[in-house]
Amino acid sequence: MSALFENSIILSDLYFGSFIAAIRNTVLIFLVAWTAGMIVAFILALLRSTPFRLLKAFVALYVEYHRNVPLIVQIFLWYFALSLYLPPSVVRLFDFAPPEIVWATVALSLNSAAYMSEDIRSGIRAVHPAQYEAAQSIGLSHFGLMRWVIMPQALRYSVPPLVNQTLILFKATSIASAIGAAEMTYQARFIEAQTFRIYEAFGAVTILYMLGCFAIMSGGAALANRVKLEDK
Amino acid sequence: MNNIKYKLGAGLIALATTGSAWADQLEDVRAAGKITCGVLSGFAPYGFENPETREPIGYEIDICKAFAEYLGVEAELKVVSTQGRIPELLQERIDTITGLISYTAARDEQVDYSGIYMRGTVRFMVNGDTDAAQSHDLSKGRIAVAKGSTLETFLLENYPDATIVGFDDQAAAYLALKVRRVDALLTQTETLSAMKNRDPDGAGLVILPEVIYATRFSLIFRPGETAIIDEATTFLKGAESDGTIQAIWDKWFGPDTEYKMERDFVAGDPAKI
Repeated sequence: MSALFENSIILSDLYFGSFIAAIRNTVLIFLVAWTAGMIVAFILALLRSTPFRLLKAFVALYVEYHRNVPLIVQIFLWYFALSLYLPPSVVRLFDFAPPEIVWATVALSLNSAAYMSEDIRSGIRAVHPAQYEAAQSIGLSHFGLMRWVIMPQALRYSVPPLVNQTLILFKATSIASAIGAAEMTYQARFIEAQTFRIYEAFGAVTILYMLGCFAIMSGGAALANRVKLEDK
Repeated sequence: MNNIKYKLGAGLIALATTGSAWADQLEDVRAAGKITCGVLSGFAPYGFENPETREPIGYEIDICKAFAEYLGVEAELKVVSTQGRIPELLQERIDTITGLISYTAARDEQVDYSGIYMRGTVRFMVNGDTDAAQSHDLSKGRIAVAKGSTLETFLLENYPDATIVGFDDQAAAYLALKVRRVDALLTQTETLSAMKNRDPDGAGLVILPEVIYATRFSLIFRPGETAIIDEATTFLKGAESDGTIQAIWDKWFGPDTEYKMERDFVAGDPAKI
């Protein structure tokens, strides 16, 4: 391993700065997409648990689209097409970052929201039906019973699959490189193309992805342990 | 335990002896009766697929075939990706690459270069309604390139205030220009005009006349294989003087083609300027 990074090109002045910027972009895309994805997922799961059939159908359609269309196509669609039809006033809101990063993050957020909402839904379904009846019997409204009885338990049940989804999202940020978002994979391919040192460039980002995943896994395991519900 | 040590030792010896130190690739190629060239696909007219036969064709394919003929061996073509071409060469799955590789000092540490077989130019393409002032001020613009080319380094050094957006392939970069995600697309002039000619809406795009950069392509070999590298350069010099290069050039870039280009290089000139 040490031989791989001897006279390291990544640590050289020429590439080090942009490599650090690339790591920052990966973390940025991941954190924003995760946060936005979780919020949308939560809303989707709540909509699907309401008794309104139209809302349920909308969520089902949303989930099926995002699960069945390849992620790279979703990213292309946002970057090359959908974002062009949004009103300029909306697009201007995103001017603070390069459009590649913005639309990749939007696509990743909406995509992971679909999967995460299914994880939360499975958590909701894991709560025993008797709890709904008990909650209704003490006079809670639909919102009240979701807020005070079902969701606190459902979210705990959903932690392990959500951690899994978080890992997948972290690695999926690499697909943003296809539209030129300068994240880690993009930078590895850039260094590889300029120097032909393919093993070092991809070795370095592989280690970084692994470290990131390991941190997510350990954090997730600690969280899962902390919020675990005793067996019924 | 001893057994493991023995196996480890044997493995190390095997590793040490399979290095390129002993092998002379030129002899190997002659003994095998064939030379395997890594070629690109999707880069008309350099290397692309014949839609009827599914065989790779193009200027670089003909260069490989002429080199094989010169060596008196068969040419075997293997389509490689821009990403995979160097590992395939270093792991000895191919003997050489005729695949749009131009010289950089950093690349020179990994592979060795023959003389050149092509000099191409690189230009900007912009949307037709871009006004003149804008096209002169691309130094601050957003410029699309295909990832994996030396153009990225060129832009970093010469257009430090521009934003470089690298796409997976030429088609995505082209689309980004058309939908105005970027102000300009920078690539080989011939590739620009090939894309423009094939696109029904291509008339809306303009190739700016100024030559931004010249690229010179060489055959690439594993480092230290001096015998075959010298042979390749000798072949190119000979092909230059006996008209072979001119004939291949005319076939792909000459007056009867859509490019109608003048040749402005001498084959076999050193890769490093």
